[in-house]
Amino acid sequence: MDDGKSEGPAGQAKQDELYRQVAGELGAAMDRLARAYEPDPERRRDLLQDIHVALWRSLALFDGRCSLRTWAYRVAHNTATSRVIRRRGAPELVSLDELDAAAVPQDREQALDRDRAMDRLMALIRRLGPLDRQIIVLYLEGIDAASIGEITGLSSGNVATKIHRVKKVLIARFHEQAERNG
Amino acid sequence: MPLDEIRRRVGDVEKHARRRDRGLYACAAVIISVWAAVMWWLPDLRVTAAISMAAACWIAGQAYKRSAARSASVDLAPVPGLDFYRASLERERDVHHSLPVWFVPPVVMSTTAIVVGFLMTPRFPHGPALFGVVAWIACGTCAALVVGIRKHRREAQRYQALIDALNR
Repeated sequence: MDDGKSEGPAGQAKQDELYRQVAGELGAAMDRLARAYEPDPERRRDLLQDIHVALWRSLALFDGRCSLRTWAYRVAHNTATSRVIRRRGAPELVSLDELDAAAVPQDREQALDRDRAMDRLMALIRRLGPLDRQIIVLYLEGIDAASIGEITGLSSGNVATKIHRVKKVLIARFHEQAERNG
Repeated sequence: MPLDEIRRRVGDVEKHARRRDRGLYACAAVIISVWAAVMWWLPDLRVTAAISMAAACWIAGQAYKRSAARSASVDLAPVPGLDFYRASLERERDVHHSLPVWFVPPVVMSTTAIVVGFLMTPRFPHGPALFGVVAWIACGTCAALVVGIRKHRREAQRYQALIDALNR
């Protein structure tokens, strides 16, 4: 396995420089991304550290074929997706259709922080499968459909359709939860 | 995150992997030593010991090979999300799918050798105690294998369903 070390001190310096640049530009976005994957603050910190480590290691291979931002988002989402796939005993992830059709369980609803809209939204996002989750998180970061397509590997048209569907479902579920919470 | 902290974490991950490998080698060494002692001290159980040693070596080797293959390579990290997700699901499915294939035959072979060895050796008097021990070994192994195979088959099917959903 590649240990993520660049060849020679010059390569290492370039890797460090690229990392500093990404961390400076996207550090806050990475925090928000981790929030969309981990509700528990301890685990979220752990995930965030894993993302930074994966990012630094991957930058040894950065070849400029895509933008640094696309590269960083790919690495961050893929690191988080690995966790989702390997996690045991986690709530089952659902497709958009299932999330649309499923009733919101009362106890889960009570467990949510009722006063914080963002927490409720994140709790809904965390129930989505990795790809839908990636798309909506990137959309919430204000990234356009073409760039989301580049990051996820889907076509722009497909991304636009998915964003529309995810938004529609999340808005409906969000309002439903808000009404139940009074 | 400071770069020194990142380098420290990379070192920790490598240390953890080395520790896991050492644990695996230690287990294999203990099992092989025990069977080597059996071979030396109980010559009538030599065939049983040889088969069990081979099975232990095979399982340790496969576990090492597959645990290394399971960790996502840094090469795969920057690929588009869809490709990464599919590759990760396929890897997990293959791990669960192939586990019984490489794990079951050596365990069955080794257990059969132990059962036959115990029944054939004149060292243990043939009575209810011996038959009880042999039955316990055979039934316990069978039960563990059936539960394990079913669990891994279910997991492989779950991952396949996720892959099918991606392809739709």
